Amino acid sequence: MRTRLLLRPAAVIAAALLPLSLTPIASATVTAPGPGVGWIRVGHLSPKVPPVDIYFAPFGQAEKVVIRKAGYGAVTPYSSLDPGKYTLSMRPADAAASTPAALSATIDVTGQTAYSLLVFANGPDNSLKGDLVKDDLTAPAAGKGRVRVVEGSAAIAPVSVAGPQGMSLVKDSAYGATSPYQDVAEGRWPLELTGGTVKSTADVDVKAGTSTTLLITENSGALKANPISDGAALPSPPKLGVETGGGGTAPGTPWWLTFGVLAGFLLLAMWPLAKRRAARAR
Amino acid sequence: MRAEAVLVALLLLGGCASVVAPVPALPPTPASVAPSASGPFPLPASTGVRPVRLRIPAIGVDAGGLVPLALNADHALQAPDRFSDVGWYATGPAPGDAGPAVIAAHVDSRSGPAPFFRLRDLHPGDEVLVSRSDGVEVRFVVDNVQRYPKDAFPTDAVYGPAPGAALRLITCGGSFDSSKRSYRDNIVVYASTRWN
Repeated sequence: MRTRLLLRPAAVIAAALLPLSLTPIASATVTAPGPGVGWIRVGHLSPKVPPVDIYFAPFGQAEKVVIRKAGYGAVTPYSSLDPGKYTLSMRPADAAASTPAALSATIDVTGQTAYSLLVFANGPDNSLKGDLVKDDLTAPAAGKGRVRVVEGSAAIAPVSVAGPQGMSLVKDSAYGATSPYQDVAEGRWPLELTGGTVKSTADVDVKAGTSTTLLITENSGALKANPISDGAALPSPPKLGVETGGGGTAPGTPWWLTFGVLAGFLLLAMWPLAKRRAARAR
Repeated sequence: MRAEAVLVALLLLGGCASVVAPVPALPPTPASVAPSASGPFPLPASTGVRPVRLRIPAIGVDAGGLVPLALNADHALQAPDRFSDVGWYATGPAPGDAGPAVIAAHVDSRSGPAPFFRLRDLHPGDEVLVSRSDGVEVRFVVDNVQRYPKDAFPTDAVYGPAPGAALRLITCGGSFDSSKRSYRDNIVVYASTRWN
């Protein structure tokens, strides 16, 4: 289901930087986020890697910085894209654009699909590895929200996330793993994160009709959970179209013409009456 | 005298945008969870962020004082009561939040152009700027402009889930059915947020 891409720290590579195409297998048809467009975002989940600048461009064009100083635990906002091939690179923050990339990927974006490129340090010798996952664009069941867990804590791992009423989002999830989505009831969920002897809690708000990725990160020996939005549906989508026009600029039938015709008709209709009155008066 | 009264009544009745009493916004759905000492607990009240200004430089739109819109009895999106107003679907996300935010305005009044008169002239790449009550300004880029017959309105495409911040601008278009005083089509502009 998921395609993985090996990425190496800049120091190690240079010549070995092969842009690999990431084309996830198409899943079931999803509702269009708008005709045509796909969506992408990038997450930095390599605890020991300093902040990076993210470069992006349609394939074959000069890359431009689109996000600056994304540090460990940061996930960019989504960007919509026309379907097609794109190149994405990461360089140390403020490094010159000519600096060899710490990570470089070619991504084939399909319309009506949302992707997260999550960058972990779980390649050979802790090298960077990009994991391109698809994000859910289908609406969850009525009254429910959809939640998954991305395990981005390397030092404290594996991690389990559980809640009240026997709710379990992941059990012993390894660093770098993305769980499947799970539908849960709307509400503020008090969750418990466990990694070995490390335990922490987090309140996570789940709104009906939304999808959420719960990002697990490590911070000075503690586990943190950061919920990020994977999308939302309209809580009660309108039916039919919208009646948004008075017709005043419609070709052929300006309001005064309609009015004039009606007024003329009225005069004609009243004419016999007027004549009769006139006759009676005579 | 009676004929005049009928005529006046006819004129008042007309209009694609017949004035409908505003439907009060739905209260937030109470959390549908079983009461439990250990949770999940009800969600806190929404932050109430709303759009306050819409600018579309390419077609000269600069509208403040956006009015909230709800659904009519037939579950169709209500149009702004006044031809000059721009409205947003207040039950949906605020523009800039995840999901499809919906903004609607009239294409014309009974006598001339209304705020979305030139909506159909937008092109992919044009920018749409929305200022919000929390001070955030969101920049959307037009992805596509579509015209749909009202009787075949693609609800799923227009109102379906979106991962990032998406925007739908809606007005009337196509030919005018003067017997119903209603345009036959809707123009929908799809816009979304991009990195650059």
